[in-house]
Amino acid sequence: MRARILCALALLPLVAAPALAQSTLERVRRSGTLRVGTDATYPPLEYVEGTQCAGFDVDLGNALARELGVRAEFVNASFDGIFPALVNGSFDAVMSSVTITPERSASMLFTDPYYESGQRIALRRGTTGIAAEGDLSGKQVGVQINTTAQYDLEKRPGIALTRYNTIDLALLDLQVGRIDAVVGDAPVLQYMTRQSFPELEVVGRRFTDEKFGIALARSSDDLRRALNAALWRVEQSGELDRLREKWFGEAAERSGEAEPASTPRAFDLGIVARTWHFLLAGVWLTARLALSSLAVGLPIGLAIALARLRSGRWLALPAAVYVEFVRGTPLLVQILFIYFVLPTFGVHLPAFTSGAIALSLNCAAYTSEIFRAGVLSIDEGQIEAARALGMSDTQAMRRIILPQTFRRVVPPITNEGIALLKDSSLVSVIGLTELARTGQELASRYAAPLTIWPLVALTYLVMTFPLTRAAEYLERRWRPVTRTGA
Amino acid sequence: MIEASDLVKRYGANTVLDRASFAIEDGQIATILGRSGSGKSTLLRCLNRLEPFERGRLRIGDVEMAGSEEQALSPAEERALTRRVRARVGMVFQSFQLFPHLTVLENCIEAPRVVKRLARDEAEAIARRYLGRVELAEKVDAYPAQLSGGQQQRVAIARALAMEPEVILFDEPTSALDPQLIDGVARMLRDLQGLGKTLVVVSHDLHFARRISDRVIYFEGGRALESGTVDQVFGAPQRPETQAFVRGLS
Repeated sequence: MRARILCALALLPLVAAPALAQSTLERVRRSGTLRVGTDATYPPLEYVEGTQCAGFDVDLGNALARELGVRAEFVNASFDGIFPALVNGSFDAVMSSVTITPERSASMLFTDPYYESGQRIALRRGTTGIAAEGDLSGKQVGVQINTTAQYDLEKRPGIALTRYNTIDLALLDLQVGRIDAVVGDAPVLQYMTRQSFPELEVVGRRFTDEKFGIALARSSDDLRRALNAALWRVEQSGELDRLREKWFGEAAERSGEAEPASTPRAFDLGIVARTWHFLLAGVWLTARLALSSLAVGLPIGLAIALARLRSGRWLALPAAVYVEFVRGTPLLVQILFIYFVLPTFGVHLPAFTSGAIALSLNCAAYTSEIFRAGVLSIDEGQIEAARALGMSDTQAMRRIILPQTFRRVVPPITNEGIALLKDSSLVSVIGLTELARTGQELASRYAAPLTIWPLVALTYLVMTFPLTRAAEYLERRWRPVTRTGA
Repeated sequence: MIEASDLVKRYGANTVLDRASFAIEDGQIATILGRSGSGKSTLLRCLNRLEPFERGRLRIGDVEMAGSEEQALSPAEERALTRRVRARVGMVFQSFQLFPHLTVLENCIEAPRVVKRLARDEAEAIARRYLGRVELAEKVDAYPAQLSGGQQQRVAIARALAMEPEVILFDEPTSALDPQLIDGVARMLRDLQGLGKTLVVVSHDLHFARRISDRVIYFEGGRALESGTVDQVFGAPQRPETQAFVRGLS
C-alpha cells in the first residue's frame, strides 16, 4: 500500500524525538484523547465525509480508543507530513493504511497487523490478454506515486510505469485509454471503480501480501502494548469482523451499487451541488491564511526594502541575505522546517501559526524587492525637492517618497497577493485543510476529479476577485498620479 | 549677503568647482551664467547644501559653512547646519519636482506643516496667499499633472515661498518653458524681488540674464571668472572667455 518515501521523511534524522518526561500512554490517559494522524484521501479506509473523517481505519481507531477508555481525535494531514508529525509528538499514532515494511520498522514502532491487503489490477471492461501480474510486461501501467505498487512493479522487467499523485487520477487516465492498466490496493481499487468508474473492473487475485499496522513513535512502546491488547479484544468480540464486513464486504458492495455510478463527467452539476458547501471551510482557512500573511508580510517587506536602501551595511547586509535565503529555498521546505524542526529547539507552534509564518516570511522577501524597485523608480529629484524644503530624509521618505511608491506598486503587490493566496495550498502538508486540500479530499471521496478540480479552480478565481477589485479601486482613486507630467 | 570664497568641489578626481569666489548683495537678482559643465548648477546645489564642498568658505546671511576638509562636522552638527541653511534658502528646480500625489495646495503646505510644524489653517493661509501672488488661486485643488508647464513652475515658486526663505535659487528657470512664457518668468522674478528676496538664478540664456539681472557672474571651468553689473559683463567684458561667451548675444 502506500509507502511514500517523502521529502518529509528526509527530515526525520533532523527531528530528534523530544525527551518526554512522561510516557505516551500516560499522556493519552491523562488527556483522555488519542491523537491519530491520517491522510483522509483513501476511501474506503479513510476519507472525509462532510467535515468528519470516516472509513475503516477511523471506525477501528474509535473502537480501540474506547477500549483504552479515551476518545480518538483524528487529525487529517497529507501523507507527506504524517510521519514527521508522529516523531515530533504532534500525534500519538498514525492510522492511514500504512503497510508494515522493514524500512519503516527501523524508524517507527508498529502494532500487530489489523488488516491484510495486497495489490490488484484494474482494467477497462472487455480488455483481453491481462489476467494476472505476469501479463503486464510490455504494457503501460499506472500507479500512485511512491506506493508499494510502484516498488513492486519496478522490480518486474518490461513494464512502462506512469506515476500519479492520487489513485483516482490513474483510474481516470485508464478510463480515457491513455494507459492499459492500474495497479493499486485491492479495497481502494474496488471502492473507486464501483463508485465512479463503471467502465473499469478489478481483475486477478492479490499478488502481494501487505499488512497494515498502526504506526507509533519509537518512544511509545507502552502505547503499542496497550493498543495490541485493545486490538485483540476488538477481534475477539467480533467487532473487527463487523467493521471488515461494513467497509469491504458484500453489504458495502451492494450499497455501492445502490447508487448507480455513471461515467465521470467534466463538471457534473449534481456533484457540485452535493459538495460545494464542503469547500467553504477550506475557503475560510485559505482566506485567513492569505490575509494574515499579507498583513504581516507587507510591513516586514517594506522594512526590509528600507533597510536595504537607506541604512548602513550592518542592517542592509542581513536584509539582503534574508531575501536571498527565503527566495532561494522552496516554500514547502520552509513550512516543514518551521513546523517540524523548530520543536526540537523548544519552539512549538500550532499548524496555522507555522503556515502563516512561513507564508509571511515569503511574502516579506518577495514584496521587499517590489517596494525597493518602487522607491528606486521615484525620481531622485523628488527627495531633493523635499530636502530643499527643509525636510529630513525620514520626513521626505514618509511624506513624499513612500506615498508615491505605494501608488506605483499596487499592480505588482496585487500579483504577489494572488500568488500568496494560491501558494497557501502548500500548508496542507502540515495538516491544514485549506481549499486545495479540501479539493483533494473531495476528489477522492467522490472519485470525481473532473468535477472537483474545476470547482476548486473556480473557487480560487472567485477568491481573487476582491483582491483585484481592491487594487482597481486604489488605482482609480490615485489616478491623478498616473498622469504625472511634472 | 551671500559670500563665497575659494569654494572647491570635487567628484573623485574631477574638480567641478575650482576656488570659486563671488559675492551677492541682499535683495539682488544674481545670474550665474556659463556653458553646461561650467559648474554653475553644482554651485547652486552647494548654496543650499544639497552638495557638500571640500574646501573654502560660504556665508549666507549669518550662516557660515566651511569645506569638509577644513572643518569636519559630526552628523548632528551637519544636520543642524543643514537645517539652518535650508530655512534661509529655497529652491525652484529645473524640472520643478512638484509632488505628483498632492494637490497644488497640499504641495505648498506639506513642508510648512512637517518642518515648521504649523497648524493646517495657518499653513493653508500662507500657501493661499502665495498661490494668489503667482495667480494660481483657482488651481489650488488641481494635481500637478493637470497643469501646464508654466503653471507648474509657479506652483514650485509658491511652494518655495511658503517656507518664507530669504534666498531663492532658480535652476535654469526658462529651459523647460515655451519662449513666449519667458516674459512672465521675468515679471515673476521681479515680483519676488519686490518681496525682499535675494534670487540666485542659474542660466545659460544670455537674453534672459541681461533682462533680469542686477549682478551677473560668469562661470567657466568651475571658477567665477568675471562678476559685475549687466552693463559691465555684457558691455565691457574684461576676460577673453567672457567676451567669447557674450558674443553669442549679438
